[in-house]
Amino acid sequence: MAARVNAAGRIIAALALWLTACATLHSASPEPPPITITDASRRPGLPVILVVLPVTTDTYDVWRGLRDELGDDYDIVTLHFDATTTPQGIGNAIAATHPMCVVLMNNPTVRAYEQWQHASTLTGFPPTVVLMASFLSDLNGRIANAAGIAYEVPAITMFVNMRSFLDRPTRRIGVVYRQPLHTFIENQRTLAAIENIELVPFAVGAHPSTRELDSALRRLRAAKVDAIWVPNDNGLFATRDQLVHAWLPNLKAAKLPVAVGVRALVNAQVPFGTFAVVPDHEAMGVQAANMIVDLASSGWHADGKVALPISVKTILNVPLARELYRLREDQVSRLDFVVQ
Amino acid sequence: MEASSPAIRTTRRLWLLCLAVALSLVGHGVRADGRVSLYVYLPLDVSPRALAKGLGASLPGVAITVFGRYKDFEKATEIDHPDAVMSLRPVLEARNLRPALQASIGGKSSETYVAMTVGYLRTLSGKPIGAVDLMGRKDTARFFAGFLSVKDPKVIWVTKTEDLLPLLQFQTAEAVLLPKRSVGSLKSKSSLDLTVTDLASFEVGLPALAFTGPGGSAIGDGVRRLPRDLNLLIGVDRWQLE
Repeated sequence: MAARVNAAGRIIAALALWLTACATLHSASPEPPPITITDASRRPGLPVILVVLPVTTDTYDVWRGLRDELGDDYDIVTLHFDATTTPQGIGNAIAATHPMCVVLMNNPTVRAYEQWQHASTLTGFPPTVVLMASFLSDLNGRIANAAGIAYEVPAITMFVNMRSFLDRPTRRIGVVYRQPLHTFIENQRTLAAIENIELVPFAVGAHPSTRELDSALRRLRAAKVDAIWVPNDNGLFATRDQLVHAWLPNLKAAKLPVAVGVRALVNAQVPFGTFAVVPDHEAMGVQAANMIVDLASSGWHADGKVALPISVKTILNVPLARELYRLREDQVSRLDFVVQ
Repeated sequence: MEASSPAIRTTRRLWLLCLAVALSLVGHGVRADGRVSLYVYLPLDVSPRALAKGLGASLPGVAITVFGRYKDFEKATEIDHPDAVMSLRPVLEARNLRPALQASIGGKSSETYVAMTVGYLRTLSGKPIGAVDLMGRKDTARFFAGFLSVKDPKVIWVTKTEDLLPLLQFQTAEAVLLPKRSVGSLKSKSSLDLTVTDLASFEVGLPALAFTGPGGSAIGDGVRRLPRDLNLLIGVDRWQLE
């Protein structure tokens, strides 16, 4: 009876985790905006950087990093993007402020700006820095005069951090991914090789069934990898059935460290992710500021390149990790957050 | 208008005295819970969380806030007026704060910076260089320029020492500058062929403590008695009066 109650509790917790994970994968900050962003008064003669963003905790942190770095030399003018903002609304803000640079945060903002550029009759556009948007590799063909910072934490960063606190060899990392992300996974494989880490990939279709996922995860378990990486792809968690009947039983049976890119998946109630590496949003603002300083020194010409995010925050489920393997205790103090 | 009675005048004076005391306490960072406050900004290899935990255990009765980013430290210090602030000596000096205590290691109150590269790099000139922002983009650039014999270095600023490694992995920077004590930690994380070059006379002052409020001196007494393990975490072995 107790075991049945326990199992029921775990399924309820798993459902809660699934809902949280889906919400988190769809949007970086599912919670309602707790803050308001207010620009400082304009200072005559200072050039403008126009920042277009939806107000969330994460975008606020990036905005703060940017403002702190560049606020002495530029007026930061913020356009709050919401469901009522039209592509032309962005165009109007550009016409009104004549910015030296436009910073776009989040996917809908980028799509709206892209629509405005395509509809516009202008021949030149201000340089644009794109942040917090998913899978930016095709930026060059989408937006003229743009550069950006990828939002996905590179797998190499996850693996190097994970390797540093595990007291066991971590050379082969297994990953299950959907076929449409093949190029992304190949890029991650090349990057990981820089640090002598082999990425061992198992592909599933674009819309995998629970059975297909289960089969791929079983093959991954048999591949004698040292750890598992779960990419930020909501297509891998499209149904609660996939979580409850494919992911959770296979991860439990694997008894391996599981690296994820979403904080909610490192959870004291459900043994899913052991270790999460997420973007450090304030530091992303600093990195964007570096990029804008570079643009200024190159005559405000953006080269379409997408930089990798440099700074991350690390979260470890300490009890789960200690249950499975030995930790290098001196390295635990370097983690940003621990789940007890 | 009626003249106030001596009793009313005394009561008013008492209220004014209370108000003045309250205002002075607010101005000098004594918190609602009565604890004195210490603000810390130290770019270390450990997380602010771990440093705050260590300092909290060693300085009972002190409200400790550890900042991971200089700008947050700068703003909070200006607004909150803590009783004491702890940071690298040049950071305190850039804020016109006079250190009351200075830390040292092996009798030396500064640490040597080195350049780390992948493989051998003949010169830093013209190369993008990564470094941790110690005291704001412009002030740190000015401070570092005094040590580097490179004209107009292109510096890529990061907020944490650990972020220097991705700069090398992604070839965003060709060299990174860091304290010699952090070399081991970065090297232990990476399989890259990391080469270290000493930078002659690139010496940066070690952590120091400045008193900025009435509780500063009491905090200083505690800091001088920090346990050895915590001092080593900070990269020092002794604190002494200036």
